[in-house]
Amino acid sequence: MRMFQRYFFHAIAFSIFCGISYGFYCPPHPLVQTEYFGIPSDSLISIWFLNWPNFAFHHHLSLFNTQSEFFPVGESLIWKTNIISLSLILLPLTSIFGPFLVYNYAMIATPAVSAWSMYFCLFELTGDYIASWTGGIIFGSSSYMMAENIDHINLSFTFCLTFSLWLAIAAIKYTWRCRTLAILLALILTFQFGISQEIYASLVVFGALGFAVVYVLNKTAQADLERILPGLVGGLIISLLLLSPIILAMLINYTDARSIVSPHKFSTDLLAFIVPAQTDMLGGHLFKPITDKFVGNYTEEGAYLGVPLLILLIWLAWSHRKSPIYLVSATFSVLAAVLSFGPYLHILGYQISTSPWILACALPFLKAMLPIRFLVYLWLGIAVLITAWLSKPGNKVLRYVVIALCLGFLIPNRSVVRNWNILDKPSVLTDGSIPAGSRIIILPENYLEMSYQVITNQRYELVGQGYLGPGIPETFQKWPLYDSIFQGYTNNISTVDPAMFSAFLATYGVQDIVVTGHSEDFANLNSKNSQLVNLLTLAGWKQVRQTPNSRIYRPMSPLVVPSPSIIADYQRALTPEQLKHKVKTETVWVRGIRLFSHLSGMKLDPLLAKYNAWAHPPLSPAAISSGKLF
Amino acid sequence: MHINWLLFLIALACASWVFYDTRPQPKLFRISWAFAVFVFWLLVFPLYLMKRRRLNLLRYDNQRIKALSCTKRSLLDFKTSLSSTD
Repeated sequence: MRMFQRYFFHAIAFSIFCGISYGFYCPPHPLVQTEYFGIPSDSLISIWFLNWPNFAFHHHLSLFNTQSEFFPVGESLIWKTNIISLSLILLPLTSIFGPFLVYNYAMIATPAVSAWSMYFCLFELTGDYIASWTGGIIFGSSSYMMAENIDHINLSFTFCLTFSLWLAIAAIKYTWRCRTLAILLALILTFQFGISQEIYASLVVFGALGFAVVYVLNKTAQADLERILPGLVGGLIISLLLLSPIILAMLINYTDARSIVSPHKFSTDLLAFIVPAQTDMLGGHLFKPITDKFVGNYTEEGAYLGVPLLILLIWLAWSHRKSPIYLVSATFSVLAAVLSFGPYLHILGYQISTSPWILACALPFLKAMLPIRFLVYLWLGIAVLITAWLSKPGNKVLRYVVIALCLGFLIPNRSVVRNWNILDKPSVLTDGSIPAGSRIIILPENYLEMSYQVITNQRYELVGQGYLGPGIPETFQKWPLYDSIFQGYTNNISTVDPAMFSAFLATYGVQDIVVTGHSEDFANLNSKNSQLVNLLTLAGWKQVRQTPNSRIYRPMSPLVVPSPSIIADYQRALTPEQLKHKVKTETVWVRGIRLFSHLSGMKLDPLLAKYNAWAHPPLSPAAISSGKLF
Repeated sequence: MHINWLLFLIALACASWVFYDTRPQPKLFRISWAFAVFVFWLLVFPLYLMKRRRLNLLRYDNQRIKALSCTKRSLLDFKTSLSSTD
């Protein structure tokens, strides 16, 4: 009966978490087919990955490689933010309701699931329903969760993280055998690896750190920890064995890891703990000029605690320092906060000191972790600390009032963290104007192209594009025009050589180019769309179809594939930025030679001839003259 | 990138100095302080400077006092031995 009652309360807690999450994130109107939660493009990447197993199974393709994006070389999905575990679990739903709808409800459910798993863990620790529920709410509505749940389902789905902690607590409490713990932990770790390899790696690091902290600071738990240690290590080893084929593939494709963002750029700013982030309702907008200076971006800023909560935590940690649970959780939180500073401590975006992560940031695999994401462990420690305090005997009403006050400072700004967007799909992609299997390019590149593939069920082969995370295959990077045309941030289309563009299209056998945009986008002569149309016309392509939001271009005459030597010549050509830099450098050198000639009385021409013959960088005479060198 | 290297070098230089400065102390103690200064320069280096006197100079003083008292005792012993010889 007591067992039934317990399950009933757990189910009630889960329902409340889901209700709160739905109430907060629910769509403002009935969903349309291509409406999605979050902001482009990371949300759309997750939708692509959610859909990929469905497509791969139907077409007998690899789950870890795709040819539909970056055709013809394809792309390895090993080092990308592949959410294969979630995709496989949700596969039946995805195949029935489609990836957009499943993704939307998964995003709404994620904070609830994370909060509930934290509640479950805290209940095991304290046995107090209300305190544990409050701890779950603190974790589920933490700054970290609010920020990451904007568009990173792989990082906000922290069920496995808290469940691993629950396993360790339950193994001690119910005196499980090591074998049981090892098998369960291995399964949960393997599942986590399929959601986020980054969280898996950080879980191992912080799990070891947490174990060490408990072992050192809580002498009474040492015997229990020694008993479960083989189970914990065994779980990790089994998970590594289960994952060994993927880890091997990661090692083989280790060069892809270079494209991962640097930890220097995603570290916690020291002021981020007290300055409200953009995701917070109280002061988020007011302090935006300050938080804009922090490294990273607002979808990663999960450090904000608020002054009242910070004071409360310091007071709790200090006044209860003799109690192991407070001491351990406070120490663990401080360590997580310090490590989240990254290799260098930042204040207002300026690096001012070395920081402990400097020791790990150069190590293989560990360097791929972004320190700002360690804040999830800070919030885990805070949830434990506060739940322990709330569950303590005595006057609880006052404590709950204090906690409510602290949480008041953390109320998220709904207009920032709840985003619903509709994907405007180019009608030429869905009306059958382009035959299935065609090699196409969609311009201007807005990092939405992979989602068009989802809508059309990978109907086309995207040549040289299909953003699924940082990193571009080397084959395309070699072309100097690539950055000007394909990278959404630059606007150098007018500088692209039409002949080179034509050669590029012919080399990869591009059959159709879709230029998206409405008539007003094409009317402005300085817009990307107009520049692209000009370039296409100069390259010998003509418009064959027009709809209100897209146009199709095809070559006027059959494309002639250039010879390898011509391709090599084009690939050796300099980009406008490179050319500008080289001309600038050479100007400095030549001015130096002139000055030397003037001062020494030596003749200028022989000196310049020697410079040209021996030290001259490979620049064409035209480039030199355009740079006003001589 | 440049500021990275500058901070790295500053932290390294301070850590080296701390290692040198704590030379009367046991080796493990010296390495620990130098390491801490290197990995969290902003916090640990000022802390070291604040505690320096207690950590380091006090030890110097103790050693000096000890050395002085030893000298004093040996002088006394010498004096006693001289008087006993007389």
